[in-house]
Formats: sequence, C-alpha cells, structure tokens
Amino acid sequence: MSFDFAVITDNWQILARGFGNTVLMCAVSLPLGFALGVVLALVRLRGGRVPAAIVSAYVELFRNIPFLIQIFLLFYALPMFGIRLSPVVVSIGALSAYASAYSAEIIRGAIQSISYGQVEAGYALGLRYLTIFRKILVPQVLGYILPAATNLTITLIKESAILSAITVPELTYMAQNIIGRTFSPVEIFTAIALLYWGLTALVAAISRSLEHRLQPHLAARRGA
Amino acid sequence: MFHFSKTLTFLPQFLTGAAITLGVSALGFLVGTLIGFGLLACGRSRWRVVRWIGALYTSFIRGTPLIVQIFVVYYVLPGLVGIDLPPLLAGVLALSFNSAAFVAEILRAGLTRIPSGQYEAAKALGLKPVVTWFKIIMPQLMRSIIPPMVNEFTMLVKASSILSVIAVAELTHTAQNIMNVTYRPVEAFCVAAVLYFIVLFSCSLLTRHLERKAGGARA
Repeated sequence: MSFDFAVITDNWQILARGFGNTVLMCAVSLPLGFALGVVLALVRLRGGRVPAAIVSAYVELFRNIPFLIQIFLLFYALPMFGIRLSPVVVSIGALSAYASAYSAEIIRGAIQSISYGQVEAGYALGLRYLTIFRKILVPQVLGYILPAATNLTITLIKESAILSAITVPELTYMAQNIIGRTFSPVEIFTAIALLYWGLTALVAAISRSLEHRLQPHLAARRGA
Repeated sequence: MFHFSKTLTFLPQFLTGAAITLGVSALGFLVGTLIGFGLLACGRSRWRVVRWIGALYTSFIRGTPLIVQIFVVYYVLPGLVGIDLPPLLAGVLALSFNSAAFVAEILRAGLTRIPSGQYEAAKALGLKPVVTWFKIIMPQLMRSIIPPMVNEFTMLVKASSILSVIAVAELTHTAQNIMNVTYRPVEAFCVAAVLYFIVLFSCSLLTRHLERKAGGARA
C-alpha cells in the first residue's frame, strides 16, 4: 500500500485549525484549572472540616470518573438546565475542572512536603518572612510542582483528543472529518499522531529547560 | 427533572457492560505486562538499535492520545497487515500496546531500586544468571512494583471508556445504547459514572493502602 502525502498537504489548513484549537483550549484551561486547584488545595488544608470534605469529594469524583463520561454528562446535562454554550466553551470548562482536581492534589502534596521547621529555622537565622518565602519555600515547592505540572499538561493535551466525541473542532475531530471525505485513515492518523507527539515532546523539553533554570544547583548534582 | 426509573430497568445491561470493561482492561493489562517485559529487555539490550526502538515506542505511546492509538490499531493496522480486526480484539490490542509502555517504565523504575550488590552477591555465590533473575531479583521487583501496577490497572479501566468510539460493548458504549432507547442521556451516563466510580475508587483506595504498607515495611 502506498502513503499518499497529497492527502495531508491538501488538507493542511484543516489540520492546522484543529491543532490550533487543541493548543488554545489546553492553554486556556491549564491556568484556569491550576488557579482553581490552588484554591481547592488551600481549602482542603486550612478550610475546616466540612469545606475540606466537599473539596475532597470533588477531587475524587473528577479523578475516578473517566473524562469521556464527564464530558458526556456536561454536554447533555447543561441543555437540560437551559444552558446552551458553544462546544469549545463546554470543553474549556470540562478541561479546567479536570485539571483543577489533579492540580489540587499536586499543590497539596507540594505544601505538605515542606516541614514547618524550615520556616522556623529561617526565623531563627533572622530572615524576614518574605525572604523565607522567596528563597526557601518557593524553590522547593516549584521543584515539586514543575514535574507534576508537566505530566498534567501532557495528560490534558492527550485527554483533549476525547473531546472529538462531542464534535469539538479540535485536532482529532478535524482528522475524522478529513477521513470521512477522503477515506485515507493511514495518512491522516499518522499526521495527527506526529503532531500530538511533537506537541507533548515540546512541552517536556520546555519543562526540562525551566527546571534547569529554576534549580541550577539540583541540575548540576543530578549530572544533567 | 431526572427520571431514573426507565434507565434503571436496564441495570443488568449496565452490569454486563461493567463486566466487559473489567474484562478488556484485565486482558489488556495482562498482554501489556508481557509486552512491557519485552520492552524492558529492549531497554537493557546490548545493541543500540534495539534500545533506540524501545525508547521510541515508549515515547510515542506516552506522547499521543489513546483515542488516536485506538484509531491506528482499528483503522490503520488492518490496512498494513491485511487482516480485519473485530472491535473487541482491536480494543484489547490498543489497550495492551498502551499499557506496555507504562508497565515497562514501572519495571525499569523498580529495577533501579535493587542495589547492584544483590547481583554481585549472587555471582559470588556462584548462581547462574537465570537463577539470579528468578530467585533473587524477581521476588524483590514484584514486591516493589505492586502498588504502581495496581495504579496502572486503574488508569487502564478509566481509559477503556474510550473504546466506545470503536463500538466495543463496554460500559460507556452500553450507556450510549441505553440512552438511544430511553432518550435519557444524563440518567444513563450518571448510572455509568456511579459504576465507574465504585470500581475506580476502590482501586485507588487499594493502591493507597498498598503504598502505605510498602512505605511502612521499608522504613
């Protein structure tokens, strides 16, 4: 069988639009989800028993129900309440909620990983709180959060492909559209697999260089 | 607003779907573990090309969405190999190929935790490599990989819902079919969500319990 590059070059604009939507939706939902995750983590750690229990129920629900079921529920339930939103907006909401549940756990872990003794030690050395926060707490929290946040970003990019099931015009949906017209699954699926692969590899590379810049002392010790 | 009565009459079908979900996940996990050991062997191979192929495979699987992998196995593979795959077989294969990459990483990480003194001691005692591997390394490896392996199985159960796109009759697809009969999508997906939650949450609790136990044993 032959590999027909013309199918890809003829439809590159459609693929580019899908790729752009995938990147856009992830780029918007990631900071949204992360910000919500910070709030959720703080409520869970400091918010009293009842709010903490509600947050932990929220987190467990989103982590233990497949994303496909979550978006089907959102897609069909919102119109029942008279809410009609564009698929892209629904997707950003779903991705943000999903990201918030996972980042809440990441941030909680990061905060809990630092013992309060470090703050006390900082005070004992005569440092001001701002200095302690900037020079002692932030570098450690970032060192914990960055690898986990990278994994979450890559997971989010991959999960966003499932949004094709509710006809969101992202990369996988666009690919299915092209295949519906041209009957060339081999070329198109290869093309989008490479696009996703390139995107996740790029995210991983950016994260690695950030890690080196944030913690040069750790990078040197790891010999990386 | 919600009317569950009609949807709940299909509870036996939902439970069958849940059983198929667990079945395909278990099969995919089993075959994936076998391929994962193969990938581990690739990573430790003497030849650079083999190591390179193993690394490329792992990177590809971890860098692309499962839904695309499922489409590749279902639509592309038959064209390349020349055999038609029924959805169920294609689905199990896709899950196997997917979990293999993650299992290989778990095994690799588990092996790095075994100190090289163990190999040296076995050699000093005159044990053959096969005996060293099966009697010394494997038992220790097995103990340390159980929690991440249970976690990987949990991820696989969760991911198996995507098999509905190629019409494998698992839980999500069952919910879609029932929605088409009852015209009650939210209720159908709620029932599916509850069933998924029961399975997945018990798996995560098990993982947490095993992790705590393993952590306690080592401390």
